[in-house]
Amino acid sequence: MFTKSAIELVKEIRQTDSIPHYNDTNIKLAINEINVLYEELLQVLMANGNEKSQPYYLSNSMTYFSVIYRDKRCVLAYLNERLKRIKEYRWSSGNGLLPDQLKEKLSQDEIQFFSDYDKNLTDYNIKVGLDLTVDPQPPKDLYVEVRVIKELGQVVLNSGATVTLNLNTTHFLKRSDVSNLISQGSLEHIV
Amino acid sequence: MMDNEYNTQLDNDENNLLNKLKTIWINEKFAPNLLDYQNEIISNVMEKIEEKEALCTEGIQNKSHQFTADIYEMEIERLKYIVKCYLRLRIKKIDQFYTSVLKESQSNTELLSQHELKYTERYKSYMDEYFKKTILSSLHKDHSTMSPDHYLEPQLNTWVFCKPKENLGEYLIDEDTIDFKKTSIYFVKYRPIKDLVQAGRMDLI
Amino acid sequence: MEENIGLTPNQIEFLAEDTIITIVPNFKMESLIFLSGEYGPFIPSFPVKVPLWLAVSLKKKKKCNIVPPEWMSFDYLEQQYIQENRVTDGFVDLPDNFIEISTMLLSSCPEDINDVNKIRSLIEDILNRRQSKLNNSLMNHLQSLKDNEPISTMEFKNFSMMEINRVRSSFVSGINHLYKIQSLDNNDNNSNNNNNNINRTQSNSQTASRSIYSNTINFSK
Repeated sequence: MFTKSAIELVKEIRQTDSIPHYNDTNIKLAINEINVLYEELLQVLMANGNEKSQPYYLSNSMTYFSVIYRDKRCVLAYLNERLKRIKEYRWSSGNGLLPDQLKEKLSQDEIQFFSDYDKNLTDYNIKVGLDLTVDPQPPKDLYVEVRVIKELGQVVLNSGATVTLNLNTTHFLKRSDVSNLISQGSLEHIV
Repeated sequence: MMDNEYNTQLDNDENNLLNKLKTIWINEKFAPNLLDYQNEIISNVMEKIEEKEALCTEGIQNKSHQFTADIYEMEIERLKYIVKCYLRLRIKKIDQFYTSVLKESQSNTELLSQHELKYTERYKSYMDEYFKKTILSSLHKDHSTMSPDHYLEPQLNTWVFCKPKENLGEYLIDEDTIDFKKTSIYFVKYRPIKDLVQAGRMDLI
Repeated sequence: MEENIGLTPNQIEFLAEDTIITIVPNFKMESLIFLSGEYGPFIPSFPVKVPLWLAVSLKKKKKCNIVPPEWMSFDYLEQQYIQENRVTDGFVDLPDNFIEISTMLLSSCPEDINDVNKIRSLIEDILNRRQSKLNNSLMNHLQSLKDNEPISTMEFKNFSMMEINRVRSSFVSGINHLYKIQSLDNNDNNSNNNNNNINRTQSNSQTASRSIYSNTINFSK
């Protein structure tokens, strides 16, 4: 069936909110379908000279064109949706590191894109002097109570102070000092 | 009577820097398209933040000032939060609509800050390169570009809640004549009031 | 993207925290100069105006008492409640953000508020009344629609941001949906939403393409 592999791609990405394994096979199949059909189409158009404006040939060309258009559109939608999720991951994680279990689901080009995107966003953050990816909640108090959920040991905070953040200990610290560690998942805000 | 006191305060407040900052954030929040970058307000606010941060660091040396420094620091945190929300919304819109943003920025130099422009150009080049590598370069040259309908455009035909900053008089919205009054809130189609929002005569809420 | 749906309740509360309120401090401090203006000087027992966020923070540190705004008195609220019940399709005038302000004050300084329990339940009553009035008005409005009328502007008065935010997502997405159906009816091009002139004539074919009536509705008191 025409466009089968391309439509599968779209279905696959719609089934989940996370990032599924990159489906290289179906992308190649869809690209191949486009190229094969277009070759055939060109040949038909060349071979039939005057007759190509006949309904028979016209409907044939129309079908080929729509299949090509749909294939391309589906593949682009699939790729674009994945990029969108990869970008969202960069925002919610607050840093440019890809964990292994995510990395193995991405294509080489996607890993490259993530690193380009991260660099661009980080550069922008540095230039405006604010990290836009941390602190999505409005500030309530200057100090927040946090629990350490990943062993950090001795840490130098933005303000210059040094604290020892051992696993499972709780601390009362300046929000601006710890918001980064909270979004990285090292600390947990106790409400 | 009783709410008079309340209202005078709000009126006085309208032109202070904080309210201007909040307004541009909320407008950006509810406008479907990217609005012009409010350079003057943002650089004023950032300047004030730096001044105050310097003040706070001085305060730390002096224990008796710590209490005051903490209060200023709370204000700084609040201001930074709004600036971040504002800039973040803009970057997210740029990510979505980068092609139309770049196109508009050629004729409208107010649209993007200098850093945003740089960001957008680089973003576009990464996106272009990515799609070229993954699909476009494998296709026949007749199909090796993106067509305009592959790009997202802001949805200007959406609906918004808005509040005129002053009595604006009558405007023709589609076939209806609407008398925009300062005291009312309107639920209206965005496209016809887009320019009023951009010109700062109407606020989105 | 989740950011585009509306403001979070936390953000609305954050915005309301800049409302000016009177406190009675128990400490001495020079004036504070904020972006929104100058506050102080702070002298023990002398009432002074400050933003709500500062009031709440000082209160937590037991550095002040908060003077509730005049509208948060039992008599005034009761009057407003009676008024709210009397008019069926408008809202009485209460300060913008009265919901968040009263919630914050009721939780941070209940001991500074006279009749605190009565006020708490009165505010709840007013809120419920307004919510059901709003729902009814919108329902009536939708039910009064004639077929084939284009969607147009609506006008409201005395509507707080929190209340707008509550109806926003269903309102906007509902109307956008109707609008899309309308434009699909007339326009086969569904590839993007950027067509400049949406054709506003209607097809009669489906009930789904029924649209929202065009007159301005006014929720004045």
